[in-house]
Amino acid sequence: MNHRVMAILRREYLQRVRNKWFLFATLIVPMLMLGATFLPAIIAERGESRPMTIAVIDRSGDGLVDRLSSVLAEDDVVVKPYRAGENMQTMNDVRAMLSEDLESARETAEAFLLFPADAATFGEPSMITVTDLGFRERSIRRAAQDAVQWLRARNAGLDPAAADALLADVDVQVEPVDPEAARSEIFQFVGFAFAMILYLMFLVYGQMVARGVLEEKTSDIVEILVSSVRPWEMMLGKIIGIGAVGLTQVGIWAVVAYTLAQFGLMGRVGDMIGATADLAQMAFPWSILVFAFLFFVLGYLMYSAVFAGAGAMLTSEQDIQQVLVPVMMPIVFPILIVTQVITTPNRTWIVATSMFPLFSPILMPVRNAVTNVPVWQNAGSIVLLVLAIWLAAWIAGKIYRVGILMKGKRPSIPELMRWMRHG
Amino acid sequence: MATSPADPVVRLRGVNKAFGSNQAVRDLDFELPRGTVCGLLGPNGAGKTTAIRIMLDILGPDSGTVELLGEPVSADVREKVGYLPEERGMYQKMKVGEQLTFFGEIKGMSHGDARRESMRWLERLELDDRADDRVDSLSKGMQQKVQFIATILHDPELLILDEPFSGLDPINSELLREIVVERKETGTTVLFSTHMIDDAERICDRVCMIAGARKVLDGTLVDVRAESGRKDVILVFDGDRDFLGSLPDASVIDHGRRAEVRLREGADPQEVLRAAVSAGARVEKFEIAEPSLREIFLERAGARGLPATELEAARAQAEAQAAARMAEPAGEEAR
Repeated sequence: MNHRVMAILRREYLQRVRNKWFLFATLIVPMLMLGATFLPAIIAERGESRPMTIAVIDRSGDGLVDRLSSVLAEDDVVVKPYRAGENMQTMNDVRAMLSEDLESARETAEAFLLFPADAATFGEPSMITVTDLGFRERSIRRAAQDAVQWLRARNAGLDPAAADALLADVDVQVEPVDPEAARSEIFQFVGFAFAMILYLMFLVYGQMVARGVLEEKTSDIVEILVSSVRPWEMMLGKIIGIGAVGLTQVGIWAVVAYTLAQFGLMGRVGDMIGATADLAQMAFPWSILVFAFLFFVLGYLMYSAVFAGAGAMLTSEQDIQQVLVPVMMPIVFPILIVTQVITTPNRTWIVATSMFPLFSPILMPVRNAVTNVPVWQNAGSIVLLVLAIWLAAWIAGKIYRVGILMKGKRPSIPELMRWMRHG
Repeated sequence: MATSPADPVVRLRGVNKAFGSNQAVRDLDFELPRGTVCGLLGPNGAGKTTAIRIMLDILGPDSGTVELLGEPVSADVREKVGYLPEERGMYQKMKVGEQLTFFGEIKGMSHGDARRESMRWLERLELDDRADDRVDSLSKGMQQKVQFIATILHDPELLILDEPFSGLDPINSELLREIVVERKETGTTVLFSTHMIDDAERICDRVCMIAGARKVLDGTLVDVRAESGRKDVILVFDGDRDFLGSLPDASVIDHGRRAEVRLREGADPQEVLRAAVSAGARVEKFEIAEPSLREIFLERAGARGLPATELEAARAQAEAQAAARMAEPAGEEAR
């Protein structure tokens, strides 16, 4: 790279990195990351730390309260029997009593649980809540169901040990034949995150390139530039300069994410989305990050070359949507099928689509995250992508060369073909 | 390097350029000797800007060859050229100092040199207190001065200025003229295009005229005048004006008392005086004048069969500029 490319590159980089919008966009994402990790944890912890009391009216016989408290003890729920008059038999009776003196009801318990007299046969328990029980409502309902089933099992003549065995949770343990090949579900989340980040980066930085070219055209700087700098030098300097801005941003985010991971906070994200494995405990396959980075760089080079050519075709702000929307299509399409790619990453049509160079920059990192992609597929798609970069730069360079000096009307397709012949 | 002082700084040979069916430059041969200030003249749309763009290899010619400083145009040789385009732009959101430094860098200056020279020129043009301001906070005239600095910052051997003084107030356009002349004295070759022919007459030692895509005139100011061979007669008189219409070999512009008589080559100016006297006119003034550059230009352009409208446009423009020049002293007082 000669001094002219370097001068343009440095200008593009410094002007953009010092812009306050760059600072804002770069900081807001780590904030969201922090928010996503801390906030649910904080909310959950605050809820958990507060013990909860439920009052139980048992009309079915003895034992249900003890069974209930033993099950709910681990959820920090205190179960206390509630002495009520004989006339209190149904949910409506309980509601009537509570609404008479809501204040004292609130002081007594968060919820009132009623087991009807026929619970041992077909009667179902009912519950009136005084305050919102949050996620513990599900535990209480499950415990009430367990208590009733336990009562019925005992009435059927089972001894307590047999009843316990009958009611114990039965889980199915699933293991792949080759543990290396299988990925925990958390990688589906990683794959999806890759897709969204790459999609946004390609769109944002691609448009930045196109708008940069348009700005130089509309402000007439281009005439001075082309008297000193070759069009390809302008294009190269601009693309690499803006790409370096993108890398800076991703770099900052990566450092923040890594720091958060060091504090084990990513594990919490894993818990939240229901992934069973803890990121901190398993060996993280760094190769998926390497692939994501590689496809980010290569994909940016291809898309931004196309955006630069498209930017040279623009003559005013009003053209932007019309010209850029077709250019954005290849970036949007992978997002439409990303769910299928994540769930069935190895179906033939998905393999073929993901290797197609217009889509591979987004889809290959996703597949590498969720499955073990064969080496030939990674190598093949990189070769195809490099060829596509070369082709895109060649075509865009020709359009750029002619387009940057054009004013007035946006070129028609036949005019474009002429530019490419002359360029 | 192969460049020798005797080589012309710019050499175009047989250059043609067409945009679709519109021939912008036709068979242009042009040589610019080192150390001269040359005015590139012609009406709007004549092909001046296209010729300049071809010299700088911004546009490739359809046919013909281009040499700058004795060699084919390359990235390196273009670094020795300073170009001020007619449509000049700057990065509006960039600071003035940074912007100039950037323009110096793409011309091959080191970052430090570019900064130093930027500041030196900003001081010279009384803009040093605006170095850290964004360009879009500057007035149009100030922006034009900054653009001028960007053109000469790297001390180019050849300056190409496209309509450099248009839109500037008299004081600043005089300041820039001063700098152009000063550059010339240090050996810089200057080519500037203008449709203000009076400008050319004041500071150029050569002129090249383009009209209707062709070169119609090229040479030193002295040669061009002599070559025209034509003489004008200015006659101020009272009396019957009918004889003006019957003068042989002449065209007349009658202003009432004053008449400008343009004689065909070889015609004798004395014939005009004789005709006036025999018509009984009281002659107050009789002058044989060398044609002005503007008149030569109009004549040459007309001889090439230019459409009347284009000629009229050129005339109107020249007159408008003359009027603007008349108004200048008032402007100066206002400051």
